[in-house]
Amino acid sequence: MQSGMKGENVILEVRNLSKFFRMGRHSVLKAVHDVSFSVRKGETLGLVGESGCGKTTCGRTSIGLYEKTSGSTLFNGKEIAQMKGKERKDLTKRVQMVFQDPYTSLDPKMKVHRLIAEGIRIHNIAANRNEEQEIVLDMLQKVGLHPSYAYRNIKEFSGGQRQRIGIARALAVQPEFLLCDEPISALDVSIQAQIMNLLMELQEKMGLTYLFIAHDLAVVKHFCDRIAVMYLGKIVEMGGSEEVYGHPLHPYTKALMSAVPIPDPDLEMGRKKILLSGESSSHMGEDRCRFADRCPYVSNQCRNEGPKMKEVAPGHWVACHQI
Amino acid sequence: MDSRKDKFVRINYQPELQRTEYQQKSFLHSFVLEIKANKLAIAAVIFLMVIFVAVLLAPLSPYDPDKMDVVHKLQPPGNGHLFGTDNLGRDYFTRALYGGRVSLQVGFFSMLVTIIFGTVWGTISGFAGGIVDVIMMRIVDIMMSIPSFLLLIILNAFIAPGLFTMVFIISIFAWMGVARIVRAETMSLKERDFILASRCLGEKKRNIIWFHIIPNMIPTVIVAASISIANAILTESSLSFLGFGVQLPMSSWGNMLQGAQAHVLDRPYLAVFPGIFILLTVLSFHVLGDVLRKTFERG
Repeated sequence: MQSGMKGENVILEVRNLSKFFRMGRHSVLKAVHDVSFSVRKGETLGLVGESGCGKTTCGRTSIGLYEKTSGSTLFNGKEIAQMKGKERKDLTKRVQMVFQDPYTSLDPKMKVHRLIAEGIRIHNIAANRNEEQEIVLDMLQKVGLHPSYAYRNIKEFSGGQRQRIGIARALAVQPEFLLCDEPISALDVSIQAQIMNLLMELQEKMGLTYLFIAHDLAVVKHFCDRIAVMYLGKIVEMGGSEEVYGHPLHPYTKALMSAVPIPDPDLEMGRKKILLSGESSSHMGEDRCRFADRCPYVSNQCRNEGPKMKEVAPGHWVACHQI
Repeated sequence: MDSRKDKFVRINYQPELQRTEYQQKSFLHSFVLEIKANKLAIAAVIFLMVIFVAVLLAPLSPYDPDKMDVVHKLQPPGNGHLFGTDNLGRDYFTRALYGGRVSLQVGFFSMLVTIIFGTVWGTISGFAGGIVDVIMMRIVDIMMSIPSFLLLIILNAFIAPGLFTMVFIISIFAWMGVARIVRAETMSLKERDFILASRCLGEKKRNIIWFHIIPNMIPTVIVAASISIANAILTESSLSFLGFGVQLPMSSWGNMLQGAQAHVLDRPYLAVFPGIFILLTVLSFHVLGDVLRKTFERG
């Protein structure tokens, strides 16, 4: 079912992916360390974890935007790092990205139609200007913006509208796979709902596959088919969304899930919250369980060797010595 | 699709297309507002406009700038000669206008060369990074460490003097400042998300620079340009004052100052007029650059 699987419907397969950054001469920041997961066609995989745990780096490395340190990323069975020239360009058409911050991810000097048309022009999707304009207007309509907005300046739009423009830009090249890098966390709650609905609609209409990075657990539960929980550059638990939310196994996931508010005061009062003590340790550490310093169930084994991923139930994987 | 994925529902939400009525002020509009708020800026703009028009209309003057009239030499201002006449009896006002043409042309063309070369150098260096950046920036450092004025004088001795040699000579020692500013700007721009988005769409590096980095750098470059005109005018005047600029009988504000040296005790106004012109023009371009910078900062 999981990382080792080589089904036909796997669109992105990531195996033992690592991305290290050199910090000065001697230290190395292990932003992503030995991560494996796969995304099936048409599904949504949620990648959750606390701020700075390497979610974004993991997402960007797995679609080849950052150069990886080791491991392999296969898109439709082909190694991304080995793609060159035309193949590479084709990949940029099939894999697109929606950014977290709609204020920095759109060129402030461009008009909306030029922004959306950028990919169309690069990949020669439109035969002439009229066709290009048609696609742009169609995309605007699809993301719920008025077509008359096409000739306006980016500066005139609000955050939610900008995010829609960002989505339109990504979708204009008709990708199969969309990396959504916290697309809603910079937005107001009401706008968040609109953007989530839009993403769901587009998935239905266009058969998109999402790798959805977020830290809003409630949204992820609703939106994703499967969830991978990251902690300091490692995936600690992965499984179906219901499964991970219903029966979290890894101590970190448990703590994470107990932090999701329940919209019922009585239940919320009676519930036991797991509070983690200590600071999260650094990305630089040696190969051992990275959660060991904060884990209530820590043993000697945890301090000495890193846990491997184990399949505890069909499709539910956990990396912990205690299970 | 899975029935589990219900929509988020907002009460009383009309899912119509939204419209914004907010209109962005144009750059020109905010620039005019910024100038209006600053009395010095009004004066600078008016002065520059007057100089431009006067210099353009110089041929309308009834005098020939090069025609000598030794009988009427060193006349005080007034009596048909607005600024009087110089030691060869030439109309000083007409010479100042023609001199202004030279000074402004040298300033403008040097600015163009400086800005274009500096921008190209800076963007390539900043965008490429790594060893290319190191080499290109060390070249800039070397150029900057040369005492340029002495070298300008030596160069001038080898090249036949004229308007475009002046432009060339002034520009080769002026582009480094622009290159540095542009490089810094490029390095900050290339880390932005929209550049990553562009790379994600498969855009070529050349096009990223051309379509995304340079348009976003225009404010910085325009400010640098206005300062660069001022500096070029100043350098040209200094060179001409030392006798290395445009050659007589062609006039420029710098060599008018030089000619005025001999009479500075008995005819001080001969030095005052071109001096004031240089001072005010350079000052005005600096004020203009300051206003432009403020306008861009306010957005």
